[in-house]
Amino acid sequence: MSTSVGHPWRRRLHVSAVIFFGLLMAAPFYWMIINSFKSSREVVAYPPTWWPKEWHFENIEAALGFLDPSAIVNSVIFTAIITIVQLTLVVMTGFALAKMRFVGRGPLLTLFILTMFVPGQVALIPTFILVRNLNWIDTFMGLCVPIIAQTSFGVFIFRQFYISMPNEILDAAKIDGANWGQIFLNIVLPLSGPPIAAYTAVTVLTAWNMYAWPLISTTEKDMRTLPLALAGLGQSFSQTPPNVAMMAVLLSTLPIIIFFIFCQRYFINGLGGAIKE
Amino acid sequence: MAPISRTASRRKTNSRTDSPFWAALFVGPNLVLFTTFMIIPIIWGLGLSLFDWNLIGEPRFVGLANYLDILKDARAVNSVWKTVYLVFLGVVPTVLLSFLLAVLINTNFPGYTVFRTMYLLPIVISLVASAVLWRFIYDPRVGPIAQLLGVFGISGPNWLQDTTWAMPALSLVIVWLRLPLGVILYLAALQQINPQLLEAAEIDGAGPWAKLRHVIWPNVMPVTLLILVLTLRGIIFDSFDIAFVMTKGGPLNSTDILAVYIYDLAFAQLRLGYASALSTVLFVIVTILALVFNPPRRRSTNGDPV
Repeated sequence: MSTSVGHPWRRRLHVSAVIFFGLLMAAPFYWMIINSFKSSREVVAYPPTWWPKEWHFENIEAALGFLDPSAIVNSVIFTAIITIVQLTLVVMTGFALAKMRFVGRGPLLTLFILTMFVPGQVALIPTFILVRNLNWIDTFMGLCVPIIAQTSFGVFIFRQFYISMPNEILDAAKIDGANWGQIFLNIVLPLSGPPIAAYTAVTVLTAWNMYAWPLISTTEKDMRTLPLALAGLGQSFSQTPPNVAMMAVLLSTLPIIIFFIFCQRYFINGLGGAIKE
Repeated sequence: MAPISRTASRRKTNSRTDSPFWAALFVGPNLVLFTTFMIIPIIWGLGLSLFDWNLIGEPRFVGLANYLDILKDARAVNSVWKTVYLVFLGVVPTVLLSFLLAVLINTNFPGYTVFRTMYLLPIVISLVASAVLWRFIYDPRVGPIAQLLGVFGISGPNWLQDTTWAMPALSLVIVWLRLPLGVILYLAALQQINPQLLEAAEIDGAGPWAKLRHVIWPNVMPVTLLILVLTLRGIIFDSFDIAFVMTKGGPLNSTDILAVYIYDLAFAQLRLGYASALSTVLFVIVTILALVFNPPRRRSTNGDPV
């Protein structure tokens, strides 16, 4: 705020407040990190220590044992498939709804917008029955397809983006005899970097962290995703020592923290950009 | 003359609608998936709420009996109130705190981005991971909260095992998780406020509080409404993960929100029709709350962010 300018003590107070509340927001992460390196004895010792006496890196191995490698692999596959397929679908649909003229375009857009307001729970039970009847329980089809189908938000975002793209760019190509496929691949896609980056960032995050649907659509241990493996650790610290549980949380969150720190710009632009005209 | 006019009119139609082939190619795959796995399940869910079905036998049509049963089901009535309570405990602090934090960090100093990242960090952690983490933070013996309260001589409750405190404890986790989105949206809104407005207010002698209250807050009102609705939706959608992992609805059903009860009905008790009826009730509650927070009004669709 501009009030701080010209009042050094006020400025200092302001900066201190920013730092204090920032540390407070990050404090749970600090607690997670220090406890994931404590020994099994130190982590339950009273009073708790605020810095590990010794750093126990062998906790990494123990935590990986609890998470089991198949959950990590499943989560990577799950996230990759959903992000790539859903992105392809919403970019194309969003573009068509913005720039192509075809019968039923208006009602289609309304349909996508209306379903954004229906909570997932309403569709959850029938989707489960559908997936079960297709014999898709415990398959990647069953895990991914119903999530990929949740395209309304993405369609809306990309439609808004392409509406603001000038028609002249497309018209020039049309006069040169390019068809829609060529226009889309050669002209539209190269201009769509920012919204694609933002949407990818948000989708990766959502898919990596998803819990309820994988919980319902899988029964076998080797089809579990990371959040399912993690949830088991949360139920009771008597079965899993808390230091190992914290290390498991840290390991499962670390890839996405690194991803976030490098892609922060896209998150902020993608989410904050939603409110800019 | 006739053939010419016919070609002319065909060319006219051609320029108004594009080749259906390309439209079908661009929209078709998505539309098939979307219809099969979104539209049909939504309608099916509404229909299923009129049946009695346990997944194995034949579905039996019971009309509105499921909805009437809800009124007689003490656990259902309890879970409706718990859901509303959690929404209240989650939405109000999320909106107010994200506004205050965004105003606070709408600044710049050396090393600023490091601290801004700290405010946004909870956006990356999954609900499940944070549930496991916070269970440990809430530990009444070795948790840091109990420890800090102990410094002031306060002996805190066993947060997650206490019928009064379990729900506020869950809502604190949800608020922590949802603050970053609010801060990001408010930051974007704050940067769009015309600096001349603030200067004018300053010339008129407005102090920081007056500026906050009478210039900044009214100017970010559209974003406040957006955050209200997004948080409301988010809490309804996400609360299942948190409540299911942290408390499983307990102790003594004190955190037994609708999403947890519906899961129990549908996937443990296999009462699919009744669970669908409760899902519909949840849908109605969300819609009513969304309308209360954000009454529909005329505005340009182009800037509409939701």
